[in-house]
Amino acid sequence: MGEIYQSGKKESKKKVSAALDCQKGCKARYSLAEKPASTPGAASRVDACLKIEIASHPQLLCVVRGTIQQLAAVVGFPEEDCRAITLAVDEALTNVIRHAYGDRHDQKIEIFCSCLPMDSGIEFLVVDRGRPADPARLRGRDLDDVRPGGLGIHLIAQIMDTVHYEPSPECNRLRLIKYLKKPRPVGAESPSGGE
Amino acid sequence: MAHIQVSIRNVGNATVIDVVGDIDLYNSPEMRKTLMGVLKEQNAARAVINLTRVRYIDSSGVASLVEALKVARERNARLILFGLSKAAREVLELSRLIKVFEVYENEEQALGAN
Repeated sequence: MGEIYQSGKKESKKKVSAALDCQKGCKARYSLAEKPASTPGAASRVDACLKIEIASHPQLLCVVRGTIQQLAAVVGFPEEDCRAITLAVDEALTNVIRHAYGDRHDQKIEIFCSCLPMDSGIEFLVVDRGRPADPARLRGRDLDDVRPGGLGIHLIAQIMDTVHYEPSPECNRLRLIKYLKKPRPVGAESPSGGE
Repeated sequence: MAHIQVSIRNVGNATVIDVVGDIDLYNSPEMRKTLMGVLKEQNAARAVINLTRVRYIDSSGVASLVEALKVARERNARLILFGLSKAAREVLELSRLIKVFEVYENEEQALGAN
């Protein structure tokens, strides 16, 4: 299960703001993006990454899901992981639409997708300019309490290896990383003596 | 774009709700509305949800199912699911809710459940 942690650091805002400039009126846009500003703790990325830019409309979520699932497959994740990664990113976007933007559907969301070096995994950076999340909500809720709602954060943390949320007055950034678990050759021992 | 279809049919003493499409933030309100109508307005004693043609379900969809389950229990009705895709099953497992629901493989089993 991934660890959720929060950062209030204000590094590299200029670079992020520049990356956020976009054409008005377009609903969803894909491009090979410049690498977004790096942050401490972030895994190093290859230069090429995919940038998806959408309006905060729930109708567009299926478009992003289709892309993310394909991208995860290209990176080499097995089918089950592709579905899970797609779910995690979808839940992150749902939270942005519902909570950061308060169900306003004309706001901008950017998703930077990067392959980690040597095909070791995939990283997503979800950027919004809405209301920062309440830290209390980031902890999710007790799953023994069977009731509707509050599952999104739990699902994201269950699926992703790293979940790092950085709120700020300018923009909120959620970084999600999933590492590819490569099968060991038959007979090979784990360096740590087993898992 | 990506609308779901939700339809209702009566089979014996059960009301079967057929759902077709992805259940996400955009579509889940429609499914929720139908489920609430079946349980609260039609007073169905046995609501059976056909998820055979649902390829994807997110937390908002799961929340709608949980809400429907609670309403069903309050009314001494049964809420039954069948035909879960791998994706739907995985979400319910990750949510630790798979055992909360009555789940069957197919319609025949769901309708025949005692």
